[in-house]
Amino acid sequence: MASGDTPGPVVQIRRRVRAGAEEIFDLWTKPELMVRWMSPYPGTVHCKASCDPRPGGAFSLVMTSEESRREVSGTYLEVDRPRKLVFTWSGPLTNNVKTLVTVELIPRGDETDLVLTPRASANAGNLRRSYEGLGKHFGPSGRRGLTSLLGEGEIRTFWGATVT
Amino acid sequence: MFVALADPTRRAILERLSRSEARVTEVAEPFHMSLTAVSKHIRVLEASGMVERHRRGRDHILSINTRSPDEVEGWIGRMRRYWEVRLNAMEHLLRELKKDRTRG
Repeated sequence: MASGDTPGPVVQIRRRVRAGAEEIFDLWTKPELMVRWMSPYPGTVHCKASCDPRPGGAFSLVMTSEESRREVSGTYLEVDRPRKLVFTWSGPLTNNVKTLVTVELIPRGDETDLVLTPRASANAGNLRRSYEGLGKHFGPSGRRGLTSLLGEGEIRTFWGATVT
Repeated sequence: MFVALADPTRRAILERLSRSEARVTEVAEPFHMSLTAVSKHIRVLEASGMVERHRRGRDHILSINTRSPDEVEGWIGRMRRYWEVRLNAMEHLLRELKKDRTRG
């Protein structure tokens, strides 16, 4: 698979889901639906979500119980309803290091193939190239914002290559 | 297959820890950067499963994680388990929403 400059997917999960792409997409981008499945601590915790599903927009999922508080947060990089969603993701699972998650939805009649690809961390240069197109959404100041979001020291490949 | 780390600072940290465990401040000492900057690199190594941290009194001690010989497999396994379980929850919710709709 890929190596060096283009870190390939390290994990890819694919499954056929009995629902339409739009309905699935909403589960990922509407706070009132996110809280109903994204928390790994069901029942015992209070879960609060907020999101702004557009490139550069943020989301957060805050889970609180009497003893602890956990937060998952990230930034949307690509929002193409109902086909594709790309966002950074950091939380307890990732030791609060940013990972990159891509969700693709491919309609198959009444069903949908969901392909989820978490990447350990993405090479800043690659990300910038991939999202140069976002400049047109942001304008010049936004492009600077995106560059700092992908900040040189923040998101880097930390495995020089990947899984074969 | 696992190939070398991309970042020289992180390689140096691993090299230091391969000699012996060390306090965070000891690990940071030789680098010409802030403790915060070094801590970020340490967190990346921890997230990958290569380095682990335990507390001894007030000190945070870092060491190479010898329990998982295949660091990448560790990360992949964690990610896969996490997302598989989450997607199960997502499908469960889809079924509930469908039930609600058919009930009217």
